[in-house]
Amino acid sequence: MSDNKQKVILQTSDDEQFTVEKIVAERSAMIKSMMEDLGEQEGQAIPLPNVSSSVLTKILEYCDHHKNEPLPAADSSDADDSRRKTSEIGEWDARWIQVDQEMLFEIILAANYLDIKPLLDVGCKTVANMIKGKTPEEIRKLFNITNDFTPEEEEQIRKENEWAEE
Amino acid sequence: MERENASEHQLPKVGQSMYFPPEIFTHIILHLHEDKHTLLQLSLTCKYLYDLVTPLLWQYISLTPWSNTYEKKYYTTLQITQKEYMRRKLEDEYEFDGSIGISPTHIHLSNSRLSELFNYVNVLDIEYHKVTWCRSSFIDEDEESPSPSPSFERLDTLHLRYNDDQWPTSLHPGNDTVPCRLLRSLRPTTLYIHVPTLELISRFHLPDNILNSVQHVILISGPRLYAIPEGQCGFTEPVLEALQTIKSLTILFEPSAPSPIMGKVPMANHPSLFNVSFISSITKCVNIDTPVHIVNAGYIEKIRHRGSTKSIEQLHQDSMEIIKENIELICNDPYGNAVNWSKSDTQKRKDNLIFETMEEWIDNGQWEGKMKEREVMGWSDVISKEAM
Repeated sequence: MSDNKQKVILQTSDDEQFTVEKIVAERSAMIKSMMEDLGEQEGQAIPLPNVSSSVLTKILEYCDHHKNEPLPAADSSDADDSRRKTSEIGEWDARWIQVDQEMLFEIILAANYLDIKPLLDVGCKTVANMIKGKTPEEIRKLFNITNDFTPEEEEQIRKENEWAEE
Repeated sequence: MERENASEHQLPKVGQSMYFPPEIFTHIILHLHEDKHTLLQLSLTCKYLYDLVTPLLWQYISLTPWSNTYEKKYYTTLQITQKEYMRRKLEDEYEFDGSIGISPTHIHLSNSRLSELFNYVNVLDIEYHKVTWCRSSFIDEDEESPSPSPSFERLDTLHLRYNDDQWPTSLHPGNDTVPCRLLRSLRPTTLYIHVPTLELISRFHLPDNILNSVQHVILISGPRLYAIPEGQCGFTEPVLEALQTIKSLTILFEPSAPSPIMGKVPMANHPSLFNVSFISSITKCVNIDTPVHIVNAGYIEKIRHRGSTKSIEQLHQDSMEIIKENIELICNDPYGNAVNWSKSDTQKRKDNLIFETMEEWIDNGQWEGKMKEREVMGWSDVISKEAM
């Protein structure tokens, strides 16, 4: 269908414009609904003020690779779904997501903003795997978190959860 | 969770500010829902994550006799019979691990924070153990006047386990043991119980509060249930009464707890490998509109391994057919328990029978993570390992 070849222009936070196939852009539920809102206004760029060009380049790679797969149902509650379908990350996805930590986090934020559920899932799964086996201090470092517990509070939490440790 | 309007959402800069927005952390944490150790580490990082993780940490708790390594070792030395040894072996090999559990002594703690935490509990997984916390003298040694059992306000699922083939007498509702007092304070809507043998079924008993609150019952059964007399399902009156009002019934056939006589089962090629008599009798007990799920959790595969030449799909199909046939036969029950169903009623009963594999059952959302994932997966592992 010629419909598939239709193009759409995306404009990033650093004012770069990307012309992409509609079928690729539609991976993003957010862009899809914006396109529907804009209707037939050809040539009008869709602004993505929260996504930089470097992140969008990366994400478009993902969308292009998965463009022929069925879109997830719009009404599926993401929490339940992701839990039950926690299968392994696909081979291509796993290779694709091998990026530095800052890029990984940016991808996750963008996937959330653009509403690309499978991508958000891949990203979050990757982060979850990074957290596994880490100490609280290492996790703080990972997310740049400041410890706001007093030593007493920390002790209290350990106590109330001591059954969770072997 | 409500999705926020994306355009209004201010995204923090990663590396500079520390947090993802809550929905992303929630998403990440969901991938760790079975990994309590990691969740605990997360909860210790900062107050923000503590608040986010704590409900998840407490959503599923199990009361087991081996809440710490010492008890686990102690418990292991108690295993003297061959059968028990095999069970332990299954648990060790397939990491069916009771160690992620709260020690039953904790349920005595008057700590008000703990009662708050108990209110996060959706799923309570209780393992009866006669030597430790379920023994009748348990309270007397530890406390002068027993504190009331905590109420689990948000509890929806209760999973009861017992190693014995018989219903433990100290779980009988009238007793004043810790587990009895606990059971008397619970109002679950979903109940998982193990019904390995007829002996257990015939003595099975729960306090009224549970029988009255339960709407979904999952009976976990296995290869040893076949020795059940025709025309009976074996439950006592109060339980049968409760079954009449439930909204769904599931009979899950799993392959563990191998019986010593399994090898002699002469019916490896029998049209139905399930206990047809039990299934049709229990179908008779529930309301005509209640769906009855029969779930094959690796059970057929196990029996097939014992000598059947038919394909699993064929066995599946055959079992379904014969169970439906038997539903029809109930009308002319030669054992005097005939029911007077009209043709349309009989058809309705047959239509309400749902035959599923474990995977289908999970996909249809009947499971909802209420059992440990690895336990369920473990069943299929048992099969594949045995078949080799």
